[in-house]
Amino acid sequence: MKTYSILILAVLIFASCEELEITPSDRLSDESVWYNPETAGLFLNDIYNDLNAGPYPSVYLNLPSEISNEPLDNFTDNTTYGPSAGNPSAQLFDNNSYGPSNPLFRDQWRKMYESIRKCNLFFEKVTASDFEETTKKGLLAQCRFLRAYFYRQLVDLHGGVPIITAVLRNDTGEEIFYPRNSYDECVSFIGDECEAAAADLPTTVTGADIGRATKGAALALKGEEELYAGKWADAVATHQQIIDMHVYSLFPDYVGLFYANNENNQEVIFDIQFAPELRRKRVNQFWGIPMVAKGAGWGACDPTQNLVDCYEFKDGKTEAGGSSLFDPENPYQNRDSRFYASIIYDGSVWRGTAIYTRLGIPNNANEINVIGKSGNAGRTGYFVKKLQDSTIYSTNSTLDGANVIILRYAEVLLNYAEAKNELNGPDQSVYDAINQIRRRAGQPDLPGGLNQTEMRQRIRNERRVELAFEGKYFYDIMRWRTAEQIFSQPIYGMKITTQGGKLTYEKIPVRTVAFDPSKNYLQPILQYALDQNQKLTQNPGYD
Amino acid sequence: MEKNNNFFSWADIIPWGRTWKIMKVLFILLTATLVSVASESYSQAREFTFQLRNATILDVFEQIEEQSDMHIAYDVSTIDAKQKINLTVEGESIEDVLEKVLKNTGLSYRIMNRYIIISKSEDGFSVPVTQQKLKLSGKVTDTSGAAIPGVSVILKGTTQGAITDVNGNYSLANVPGDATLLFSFVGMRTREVAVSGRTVLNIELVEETIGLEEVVAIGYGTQKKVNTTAAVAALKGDELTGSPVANVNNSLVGRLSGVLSFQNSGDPGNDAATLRIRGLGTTGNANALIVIDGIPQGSSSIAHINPDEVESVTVLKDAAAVAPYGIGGANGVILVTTKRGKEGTIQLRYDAYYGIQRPTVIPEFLDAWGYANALNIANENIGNPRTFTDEELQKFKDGSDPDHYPNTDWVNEIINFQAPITKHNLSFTGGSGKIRFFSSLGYLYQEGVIPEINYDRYNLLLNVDADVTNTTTVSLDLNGNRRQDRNPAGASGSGIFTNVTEIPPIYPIRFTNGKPAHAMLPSISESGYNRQTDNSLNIKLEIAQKISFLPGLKLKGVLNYNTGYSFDKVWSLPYTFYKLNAQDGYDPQPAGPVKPSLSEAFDEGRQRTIQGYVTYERAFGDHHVNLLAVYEGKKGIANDFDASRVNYDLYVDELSLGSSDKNNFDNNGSSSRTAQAGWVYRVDYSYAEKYLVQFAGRYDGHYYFAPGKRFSFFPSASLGWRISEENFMKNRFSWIDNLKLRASYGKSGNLAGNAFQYLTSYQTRNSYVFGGTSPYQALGIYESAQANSNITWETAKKGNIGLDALLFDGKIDVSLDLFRERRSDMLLSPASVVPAEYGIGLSQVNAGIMENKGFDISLGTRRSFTNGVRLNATLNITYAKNKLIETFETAATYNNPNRRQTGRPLDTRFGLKSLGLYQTADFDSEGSLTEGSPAPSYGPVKPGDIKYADIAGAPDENGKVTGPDGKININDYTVIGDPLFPQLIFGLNLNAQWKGFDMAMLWQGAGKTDTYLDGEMAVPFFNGAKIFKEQTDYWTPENTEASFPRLTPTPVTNNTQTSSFWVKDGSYVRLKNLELGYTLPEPMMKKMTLKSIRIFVSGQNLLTFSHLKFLDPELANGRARYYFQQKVFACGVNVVF
Repeated sequence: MKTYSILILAVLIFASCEELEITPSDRLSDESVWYNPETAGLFLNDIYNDLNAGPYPSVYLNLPSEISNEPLDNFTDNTTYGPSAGNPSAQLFDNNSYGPSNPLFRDQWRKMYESIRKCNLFFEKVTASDFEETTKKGLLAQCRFLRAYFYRQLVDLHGGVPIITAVLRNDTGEEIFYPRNSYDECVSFIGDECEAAAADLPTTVTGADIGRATKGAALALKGEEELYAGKWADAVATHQQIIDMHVYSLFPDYVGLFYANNENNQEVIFDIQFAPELRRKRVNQFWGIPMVAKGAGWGACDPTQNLVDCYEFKDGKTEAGGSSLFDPENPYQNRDSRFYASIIYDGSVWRGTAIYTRLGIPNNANEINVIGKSGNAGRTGYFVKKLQDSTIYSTNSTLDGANVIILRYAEVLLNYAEAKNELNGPDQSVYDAINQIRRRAGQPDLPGGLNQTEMRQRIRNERRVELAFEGKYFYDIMRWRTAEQIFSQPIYGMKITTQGGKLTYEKIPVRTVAFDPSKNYLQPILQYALDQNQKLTQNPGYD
Repeated sequence: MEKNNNFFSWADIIPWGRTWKIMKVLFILLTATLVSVASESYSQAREFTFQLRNATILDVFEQIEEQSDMHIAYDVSTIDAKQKINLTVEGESIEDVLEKVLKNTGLSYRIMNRYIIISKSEDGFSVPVTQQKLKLSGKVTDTSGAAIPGVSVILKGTTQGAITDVNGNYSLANVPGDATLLFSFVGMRTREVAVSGRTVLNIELVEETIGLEEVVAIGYGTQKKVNTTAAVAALKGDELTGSPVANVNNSLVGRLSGVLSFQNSGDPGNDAATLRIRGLGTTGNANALIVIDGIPQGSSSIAHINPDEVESVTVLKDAAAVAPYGIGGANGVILVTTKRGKEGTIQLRYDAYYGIQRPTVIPEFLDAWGYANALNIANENIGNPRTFTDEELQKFKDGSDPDHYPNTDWVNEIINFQAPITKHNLSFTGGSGKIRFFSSLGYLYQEGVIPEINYDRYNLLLNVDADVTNTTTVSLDLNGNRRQDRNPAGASGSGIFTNVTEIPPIYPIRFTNGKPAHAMLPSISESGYNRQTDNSLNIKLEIAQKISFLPGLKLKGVLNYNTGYSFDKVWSLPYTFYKLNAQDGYDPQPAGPVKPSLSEAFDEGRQRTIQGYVTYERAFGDHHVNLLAVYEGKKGIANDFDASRVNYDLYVDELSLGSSDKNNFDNNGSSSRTAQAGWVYRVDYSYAEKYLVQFAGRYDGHYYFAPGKRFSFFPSASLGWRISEENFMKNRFSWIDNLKLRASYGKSGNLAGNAFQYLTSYQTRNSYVFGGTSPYQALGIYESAQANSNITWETAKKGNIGLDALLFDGKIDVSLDLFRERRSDMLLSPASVVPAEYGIGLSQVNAGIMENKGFDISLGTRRSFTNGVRLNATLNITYAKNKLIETFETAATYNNPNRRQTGRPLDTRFGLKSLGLYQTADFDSEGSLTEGSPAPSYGPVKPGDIKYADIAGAPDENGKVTGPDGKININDYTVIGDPLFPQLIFGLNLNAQWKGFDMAMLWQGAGKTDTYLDGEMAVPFFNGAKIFKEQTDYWTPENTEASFPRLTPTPVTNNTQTSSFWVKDGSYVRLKNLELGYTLPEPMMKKMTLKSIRIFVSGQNLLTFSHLKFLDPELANGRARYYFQQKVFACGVNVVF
């Protein structure tokens, strides 16, 4: 026994030594990722996935994502945040208490540069690869489009930002701290990238490729940026190019345009892809009406009376424009069809239930909120209908899978008209573009003989109505420099009371915004970015 | 003394004719059927060889016992231990040796089987005492002469025995005259006394816990405490079992010097306190290494141990103690030793308690009327109309319309203030002849604040030791547990506390018809379940072999196999609550998934540890040498997979019964492997037990790092000087039993970060959806972090100076330690050294340096009085303060001396300095701040808002901070408080016993910690939350010295800035544990044929004194969004059969 145990022990003590070489099973090597176009494509897939914050964009991330529950329209007079919890950014905006340390868009800066780095890495690796030349071009073109898209998310908010097209490496001694490029340099860069992308991108994509960038998407991205930058001639040319492609046209149904079963229709130029269960969003829950059978929402985005007043009546005139169809006792009759498609108002039907926002109905969380009440109640007497599918209950976010349209043909027409009007005044092509949109909505053509200023007002109103809640209006009032004028006026809701068996309508101020034109047209550069890169300079007024 | 041996003796190597009974032993081990092994005929043909100089008789006896498996029994009072002899024995028989030794001592011997009985010659052995059966009685006392009741008196080698009564008396019948008695009692040194034909045997027992003979567990071995040169603290397992808490972590709090703790959750199954040995020494992983029965285990393993299984817990604190653990040691080591069987006893024991739990503190919220009224005031304050009319207020008050104007007490509606906790433990232990065993089966059930949240744990332990030969011991240990943590699928404990502390009382919880009016109720009871089951089994086989040709040399091999799996199952169901519609009908509000969904996850892990020991311990005269070398290798494998289906048509929680649409399926899985190898050494040398030197360390390797960077060496050295052994002390200060100075210095390591950070890591994930109306989710690859090929472990250099003293016959026990540690190569995320535009996280780099220093003190005293009262008290105080020496910091904070993190403790709180609240006088008649007041940049302010100090301005072009600039912004940030984790902890343990009564009390406290009030715990109506009593002390023009700012319906941005206004001193003192017990008198026991019964009541966290009146001081996140700490009242019983 003793001998045996000594032997056993000796083996234990002296013979064994652990092998410390372990191949990790949870990661891939450089070689296997850039092995062939298909594997490299997987990397590209993940860059596409950055097109929003992910399946649960949280209000606390403050992402200016078009599908976030903090829609950009809440930073305009189109909508206001609901009284319910969780809209810190909108409150910062209204109080004008945002700044570099407590910005409206906190993680945006970092996230966009993360995506840009991915693009740069992809660019570097694919360029250096021995993939077939046409394959390479197709991959790089998509990458260029995406990179331009990410840069636009920064440039449109902050002005000029550092243009970084190489993979930064802190271990090679190369410069990793970049100063800001000028706004013009950024616009040119985005334009050039989009143009280069458009040259190599397909005109259309089908089947499993639906969702990938196309030539039209690259051109539309470029054109929009040119419009934002006021480069009218470039914008006209670019949008003309898209129109002349004859690939896109207006989808006849303004309501169904945004629904899942009409995804990727003829009007859509580029959209962010979602799918039930797979990649979902929570618009229904966040924007949803506070009280409706089966699935109340948070009412986090409430249309204002200011927006409602922009909807024309069937005669092509607004209330302020002296429409004869306006009836103060029935203000919601005879409106532009887009009003009914976009807004839930007192007495309208949603999910088979009549919705009331008037005062005096018991247990009614939908009624216009008296300031100070808490709970998920509306603040304006209106709720958002557009973009929401009535068949999807707001709590059932897993099924909320309709794509979010970023660029569509109606906007191309609007952009063209605006740029053309600014460049040459209202010629026939301007009328044609706008009237196309108005006809779909069932509205009469614009009256002839408008001068440039009148046409500008009509285009801007048309744009506001057509693109309501799509996240464009915020950029519009910033580039038009109209925010200071807009926010100097009260923002109204509609208080409806029953008096003597009759409804009376009273516009009441529901929100005031302190807007400082000396600085607020640009968002501040984030404090953490300034802290980490001494070469960055702050935008005026945010020191 | 010096022992000189022939290195070779054939007799040692050749088995001497005994039957090898390995088959029998294995059978016994495996079946765990304990039988007494029939005594064998023992050959006395054994030959002895040794040489002793200047030795005592006892040394000779020890030598004989060591070289054979004979036992020598003697009455110590008959032996003259002072007489020194010199003896040379060469190949002599036992008789010859004894003859030589006992010559002229007046002693004679007798050999019976393996026992040698030594007695005075006059007692003689003329009568064959074996034949005689005696009736024996006597009294057991302690050193002060006080009787000790409850001492177990066992006839050695049998199960026959008795227990002393209240007066310390015992009696035994039918005792063979040559028997040996074992006297054992908790806290006393066990004594073996030969009967030698006597009929009265009065015995004195000596307390052992802090005595000179106390042995403590150290890394890879044990050591006499007086001889350690390292800083260690130890406690006995039975100190832990009095606390009615679910895990060892929580019962350790306050009981050991050098251990700092913070318990930030009361969630059953997840409520273990975070233990930090000597505080926080690193920015990285700060968990102490947990070693259970010599095997390093996962850091959470200690929380899963059954406290009833624990024999002792030892904390290793300084470099000398932790160096043998290499890269595992830098954060300190907690050694847990489980109980083992002792020879001569067979005992069946049952311990149980039942208790109820409730949150320690919960804020007192205003009722509906109070809330509505406060909200009206808040709105009036900002010029808004009142939210509620007087009529509505009245309805809240009188409850006349509870559906529309309810008054919901969310806390009491949901929280169970009598949540049960219960524990049962059955242990069976014994030992006889060559086999000893300890077994125990434990069950714990802990219910949460709602019955749907609960946790149970089963523990099984079986430790078996067998003396296979006279030099070989084989041990087989089985230690397993099964734990299940249950929660509703749609609610969690922290979520419940978040809700009940947030939802205003004006919302109904259920309507008068009973329908739920809020998602909370059905989310608890109807949302399905979330069950996490963990199983763990540890099997250890240990073979220890003495090598007889080289006395003092031992080999030991350990094979440990740890396997565990966890199974999580989440069954989510849709549920419904209701809202009143315009017609006062009930509109159902669906919540949860649309259709049921099920997800199951299965993780499996195995870890094999192999240890080979060589130890050599010999004394050569006054020179004593103890050498240790250990190889330890670890290898682990983990696999997991999970699967789920959504959109169930059936309400049956089986994976296979879900939707058959493949789009509703999902699955995932991964695997990983681990490996570590280390060579441990320790060299102990002492001269005359006076001068002590120790070198210990480890050469350690780990798979985390790049080839060539995997191994490192962690040495340590320590010295001890037992001044009390010096003659000048011995003679003059006889009241000093022990006085030792010690010092240590060495290096230790800490494994931080993650595996493979040296490799560029691309990983895959479910990514974008392509395909339009036929969507599919594409696979995506992303780069998770930039690699750092040089990454390695943290290095700690630790220095320690200590003093141990034992005074007045062990009545006072003092231990003091001063320590200083410098941790370098701490892994830091270098994000702040690259621009925010860098675009990817960098792998951590070994760049941080932190210093940690402090002291720990333990002070114990004990007194026994002749009236039977026994008292003891121990006080321990631990203080540790760290300082970041080097860290990554942006220029903006580094260049601003107020904001610089470097040079300050980790997690120091920075923020604006509050100057109290603005008063009316701070504003002019237009409501603007008076001329010259610094302008806050967080929106407009009014009287009653928080006023901040203007400390500094923006940095100038050189990056230097300028003076006050009249603006309040981030440049004015400064230090506003201490870190959350306490830097000071103390525990005061008081014990008293009298006759059958016993009392134990533990006061525990923490200091040098600050908490921060945040969110709804700071400002009322935060995010629509409610308001509690203390918050009604808000500012008004009349109440200018308020503790809260002016009342507004939504928080004022200015007031929610990080500032010293919301920093609260987190120090506290707690009656952590109180236990009162009574042991029933023996006559009663006899009637019930039981050995003993003790009944007790006990409580945990009974009283708390802190600066926060409305929340527990161990507030984790500044808000009420966590599972509140619990207080427990329990009663229980200990029965020995």
